[in-house]
Amino acid sequence: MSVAKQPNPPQSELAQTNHLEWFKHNWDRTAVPAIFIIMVLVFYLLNPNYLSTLNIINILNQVSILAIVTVGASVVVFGGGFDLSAGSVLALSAVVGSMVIAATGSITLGVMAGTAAGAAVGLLNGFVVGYLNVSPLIVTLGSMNVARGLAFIVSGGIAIHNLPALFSDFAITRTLGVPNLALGALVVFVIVHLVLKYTPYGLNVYAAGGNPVASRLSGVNVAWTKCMTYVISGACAGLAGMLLAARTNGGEPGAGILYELEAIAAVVLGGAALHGGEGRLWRSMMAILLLTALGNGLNIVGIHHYWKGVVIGGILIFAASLDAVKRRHR
Amino acid sequence: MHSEGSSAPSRSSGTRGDSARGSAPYFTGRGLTKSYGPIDALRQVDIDLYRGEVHALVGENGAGKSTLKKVLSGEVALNDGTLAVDGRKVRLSSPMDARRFGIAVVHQHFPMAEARSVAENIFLGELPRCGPSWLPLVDHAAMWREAKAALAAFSLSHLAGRTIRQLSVAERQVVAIASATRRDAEVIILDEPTSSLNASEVETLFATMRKLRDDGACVVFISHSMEEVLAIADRITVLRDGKRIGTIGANDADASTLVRMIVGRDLAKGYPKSNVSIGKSRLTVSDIDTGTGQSLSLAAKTGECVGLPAHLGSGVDELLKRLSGQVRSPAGRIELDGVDLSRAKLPKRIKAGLCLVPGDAASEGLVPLLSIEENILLPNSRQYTEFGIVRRRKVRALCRDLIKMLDIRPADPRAAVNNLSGGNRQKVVIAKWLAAGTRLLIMDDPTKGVDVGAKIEIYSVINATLETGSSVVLASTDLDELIGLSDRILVIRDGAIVGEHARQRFDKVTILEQLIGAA
Repeated sequence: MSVAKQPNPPQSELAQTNHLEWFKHNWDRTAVPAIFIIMVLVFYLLNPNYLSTLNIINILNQVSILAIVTVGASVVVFGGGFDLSAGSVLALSAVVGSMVIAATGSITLGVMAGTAAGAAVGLLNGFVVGYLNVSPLIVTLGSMNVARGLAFIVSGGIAIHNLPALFSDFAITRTLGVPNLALGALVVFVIVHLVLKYTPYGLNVYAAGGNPVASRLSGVNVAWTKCMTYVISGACAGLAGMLLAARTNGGEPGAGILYELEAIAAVVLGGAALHGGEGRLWRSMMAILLLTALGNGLNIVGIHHYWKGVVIGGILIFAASLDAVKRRHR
Repeated sequence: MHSEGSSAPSRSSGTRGDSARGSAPYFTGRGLTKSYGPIDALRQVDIDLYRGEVHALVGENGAGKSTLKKVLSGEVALNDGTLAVDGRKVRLSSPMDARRFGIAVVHQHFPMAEARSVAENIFLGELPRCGPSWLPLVDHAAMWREAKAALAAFSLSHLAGRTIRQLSVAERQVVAIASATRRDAEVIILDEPTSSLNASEVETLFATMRKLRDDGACVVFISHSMEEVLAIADRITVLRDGKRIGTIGANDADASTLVRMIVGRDLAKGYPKSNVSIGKSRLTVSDIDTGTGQSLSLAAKTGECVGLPAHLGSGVDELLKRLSGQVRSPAGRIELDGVDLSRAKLPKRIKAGLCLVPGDAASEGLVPLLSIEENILLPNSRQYTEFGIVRRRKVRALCRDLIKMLDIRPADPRAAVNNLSGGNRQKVVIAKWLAAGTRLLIMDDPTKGVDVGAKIEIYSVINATLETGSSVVLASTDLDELIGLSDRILVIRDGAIVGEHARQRFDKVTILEQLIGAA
């Protein structure tokens, strides 16, 4: 009955493949790190200040808030959707949370209120996309406008100031030399990473994104799974809004414009397919760090910030094209 | 083989189409042979198509009908054999070539631009132009005029302005025919055109076919239904295992002759059927309406494999959807081991042990981007979760056992399933349900589109499932497979059970006759 199995020849061959062969299969994965390293080197050669402690801290501060938005955007994309409302939700949360702080004096309550406001908009997105099967493009385009409008209505169109000093102090202090904002982003990343990697829910996100029909037939509650990805995205945007309010010392209804697109760009640049089912959170994080470091670098070497959009857009199209070419050859 | 080929034309004398037919065939194929890898889809098939005849192609699934269709329409290249049009040898290396010789195909699912008008769809890809040649302008007047003329031939000119979406299935079918026959078509191939039509719509289609025939075209009619074939065809070519069994005139044919030609004499051979003792009652289904207005009841015992011969329109599909919980049945009762699941949703049915193996593993059974392990985990993740965290190590051990038991290759739980072969994919789907502790596997044509070797492996997995005491409801379009594997076969037609056969008394001819309504 039992037959002695031949050692698997392809596997032993695989171990012996040369570096060129490895690169042929993995050049798409190496593209982002490679661009990243080359970019850092170029900026450093043009201006050594680029890698000074001060500038690195500056970059970390700049990236933290976007990174939290990107965490949420990644989860939604892995689950086969996307969320255009994140930037507006961020502003709405910043305004709502700041008003709660101003009214109650409690920072904890304010941060909770801001995050909850974000999660609430996410729940609306998630319900309509997950349970009613409406296209996420349309739903989140709509809620993007709703959230932005509400942010202006609630605040009366002006920024909410007069927040306690303790609140803004959080954003400018460091713990063990690392900016608090970056630590906050790191905590969010680690939690969501663990959820995606080790919980049944995380598996279901990838499954629902990869093949909703098969997932449903396997007993996965696809509607709920998808719905919750938007709640996570909304909560992330809400928390990011509160951190931005702390950093700018006030909740601004016009904040966070185009953050959602930069976050989605990072997810795609990180190698996730927009049709869902694949992607790694840490790669999205690396991509958003790249985009931020790039904007900072252009600034440092004296290129007008008008060019930032051109360069970032170019990289995005390039990365997506690489991916498409690779897919066709697979 | 050769004697059969040469005797065919003489046998066909005196058929309905004789008067309209010229003396020489318009299209001839000789020694047509096509193989896909080791499998011979067509072996030395001869065929003659005359002007002014309806020529039916019949045979079981996999008999070679669709390959022959593809050869005639230039979709596949022959390995051997010659084709001739009006006595001149031709090569058909693309559908365009076939089109040039007046051969048009109306596919089973004819893709059309749903939101556009009938007229536009008829001219899709070759809209009439007007104005100077460098200016790409559509000649709408000409398009409408010609579309109406094309439809008028079938007295449907009032449809020209409707969008495709507004049409009934039968009307779409006729529009597809109108589109295919717009330019002079000598041979019109209709691939199972009646599979989704009701009786009166079939009559409309037949009227269309008769008109095409009387206008001097050859209509090739591919169908599963003996009734329809006998009603419309002038001559009938029977294929089996890629060979032509014979061509007979419709006047010389009756249903039982045809069935015998289709089935052949060889009984179920080479199917591994292990001896599993059949135990107590497991599944009881009573008075389920499959959407046809008829209701049916069935039962399965532990260790028993119940075979359901399936083809389009039999109602088996609908039954499986209601059993698995994809569609909930308003009436009737489904009981598994005494638990009432009639109103239960899909996850609850899975929990009770009622699991579905869909026909297409890649699109409905598995998440291709995930690994074997993750796919097996999908319905079972709760079981392996402690404090909110999936215990991957335990899962991996289970997966290794299942991989060994079902001989899944590669034997690596972390391999992505999109790199697996068709047979191995289907095994992963079954492994997933074995891990979930299945009590009843509902299998919807599990060997569709997999090669012969993989089929045998799936059969042994079905046996392994039965040995665990699970029941299996096996729906298949392959009758041999059902005869080889089932303990009992229930024949369902139009949503009602029309025959029940115990393994000791399986008779393929009787089953087929019941299935196609020839009995």
